[in-house]
Amino acid sequence: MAKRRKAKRTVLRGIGASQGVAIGQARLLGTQEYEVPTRRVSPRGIGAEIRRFRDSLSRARAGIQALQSRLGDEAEDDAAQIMASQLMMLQDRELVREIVTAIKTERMNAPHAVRSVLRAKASYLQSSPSELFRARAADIRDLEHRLLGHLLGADASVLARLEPGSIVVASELTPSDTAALDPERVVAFVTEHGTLASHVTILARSRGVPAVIAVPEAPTRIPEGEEIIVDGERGIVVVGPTRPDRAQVEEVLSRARRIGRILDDREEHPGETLDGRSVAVEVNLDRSEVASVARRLGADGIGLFRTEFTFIGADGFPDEDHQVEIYRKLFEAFGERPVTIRTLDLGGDKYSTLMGVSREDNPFLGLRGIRYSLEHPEVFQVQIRAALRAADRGRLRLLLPMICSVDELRRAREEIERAVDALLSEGITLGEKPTVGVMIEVPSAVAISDMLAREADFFSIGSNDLTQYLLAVDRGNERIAHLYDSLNPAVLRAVDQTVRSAHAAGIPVGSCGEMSGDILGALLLVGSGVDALSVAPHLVRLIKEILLRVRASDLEALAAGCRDVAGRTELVERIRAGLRAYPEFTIEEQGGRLLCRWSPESAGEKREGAE
Amino acid sequence: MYEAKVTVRSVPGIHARPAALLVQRASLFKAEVFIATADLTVNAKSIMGVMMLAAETGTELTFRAEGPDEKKAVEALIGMVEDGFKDP
Repeated sequence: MAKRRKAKRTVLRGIGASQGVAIGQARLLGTQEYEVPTRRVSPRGIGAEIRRFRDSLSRARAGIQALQSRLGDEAEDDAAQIMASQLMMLQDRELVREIVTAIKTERMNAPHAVRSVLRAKASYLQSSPSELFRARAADIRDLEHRLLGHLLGADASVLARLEPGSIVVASELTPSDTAALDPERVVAFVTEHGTLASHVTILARSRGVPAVIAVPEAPTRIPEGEEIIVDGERGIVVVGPTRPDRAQVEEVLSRARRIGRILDDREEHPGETLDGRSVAVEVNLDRSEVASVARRLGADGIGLFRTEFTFIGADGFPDEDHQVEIYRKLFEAFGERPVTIRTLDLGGDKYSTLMGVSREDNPFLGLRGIRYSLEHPEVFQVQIRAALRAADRGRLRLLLPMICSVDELRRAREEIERAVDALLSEGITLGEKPTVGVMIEVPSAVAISDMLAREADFFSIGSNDLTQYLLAVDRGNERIAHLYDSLNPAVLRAVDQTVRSAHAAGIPVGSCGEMSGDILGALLLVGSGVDALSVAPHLVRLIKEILLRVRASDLEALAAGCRDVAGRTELVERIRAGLRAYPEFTIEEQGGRLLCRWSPESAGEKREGAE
Repeated sequence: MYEAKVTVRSVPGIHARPAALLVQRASLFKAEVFIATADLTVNAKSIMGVMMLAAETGTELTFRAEGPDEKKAVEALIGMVEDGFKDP
């Protein structure tokens, strides 16, 4: 590596948006300010300057079209929309005329004209009080950057030139940026803006790479090409790491490798604790193509199949046969094991066009989940019929989202009965009778969980929404995201009440939120008595392994203690005390969040040394 | 010349997608079409122009057209705003 002056060690703080630790070289993206040469064009040179500008337009258009056709139908909604809107801007005659006028009358050279016209527009929108219009300012800056890239001959696409082991540092990451990058080469992300609901968070989590977001002035404080450490657990970025920093990262990475080996060596087994309490570890899926992989990873069933992705992306709602085809893959992969299909939970905001409902001021409190399905029985019937037909040889569990009252459950059951009757009268053979469950994700459902339990076949706790609704915190809101806390005793009490109601009525209760896939969250849920944890595919083996190492009886005492603490310090003490018998689990407080770290012991260590 | 006024009722206003729809529709007419707010007048066939309006819910817009199909143009575009840009 070339000798260079090392940056002074600096620690930048942000929010850990995706777990894990990585070390690599910072690649600054989209924020390099192009050096724009400003010169006065001679009257004779005007024609050439205009041609140069028009040429950059057509190359930018071709670039976007190439990206569009490369992504094809795979482009995500927002990526597709951003590309379409950039294309429209590039074809905007009025805008072209304005830039040409700047070249002609003010005798600006092409890059200068592009920058000065577009900057004025971006800063005008930037002053809008509405966040949505301010977001359009970012689109205009993106456009400026694209045009300057073509005009100045600089390769606009830093993303395409990334070397393996790169860490992408950006002010914000647009869907069109991420669509262009080679994910194999990116080991972490750092952004200046963003929330836990942002595109970058979702992307990093789905790729399993660490991300730290909301790092103030990240692009100016992190030098291009500098070695940096991104710690997604603590939410920090270390610029110019020292030897101890590196050693620490190496330790984390080697622990991850050790855990990987333990998981690889473990034979498949049904989920249970050290003292023999059976806890099914199931999987959350949103695409049926992944079902067979999830089964190979040892999932005891599908705890949650989100059908939203089946519905978006297609032109209008998919018809019955199409849905049958998708759902059938789940049953083919899981055979006799249970498959939970959650009925449509399209929520207000993003998908309103598809649903044919007008925009809502407050989509989280709007027409979503079962409310929509009951209002549109034609859509609901097709979905239930498709699920029933796909399950002709399997075990179908139908899960109803956003239930707030017993009436809703009854009406949904009637719809299900209607679909069964219709199929039978059409001479279609059906499998085992489906069970019908209720998502417990709204505080009202917790309050009446005893009544719901008498009429439902099972419960599934949706801890993400339950936390958000109970604590009245939108975790997409940067200013209050830190208040989102599934360990708040209010949440733990709600879980406890739900489990007790379910068990009193003799029905099983599972949990399918992010809490189930977090070690500490999983321990507390099992301690609260849940019968199943449903987690992302890559966490199935980890959570099963953890359960094998703890006694349910100890977890019960732990959970009971945590339901009754007034403050954070006391909570940390109780958890530490509750896990004292298990030295391989340690509790750390990172960026305001409590984390349980698993450091497997000597057996793994020895093998490590043998290498 | 033909002109009419409308108030944006849809939430959160004429942002990205509605702006694109409006421009696409406006471009189908022969008439020159302009949209004016209290601060600004823009060409309705220009996406950049319509975005610059930053027309939030509650903004009053004047549509003004000049050309053979001016009345049809203004009525069609005002209809879109009134319907909150729902798909037909």
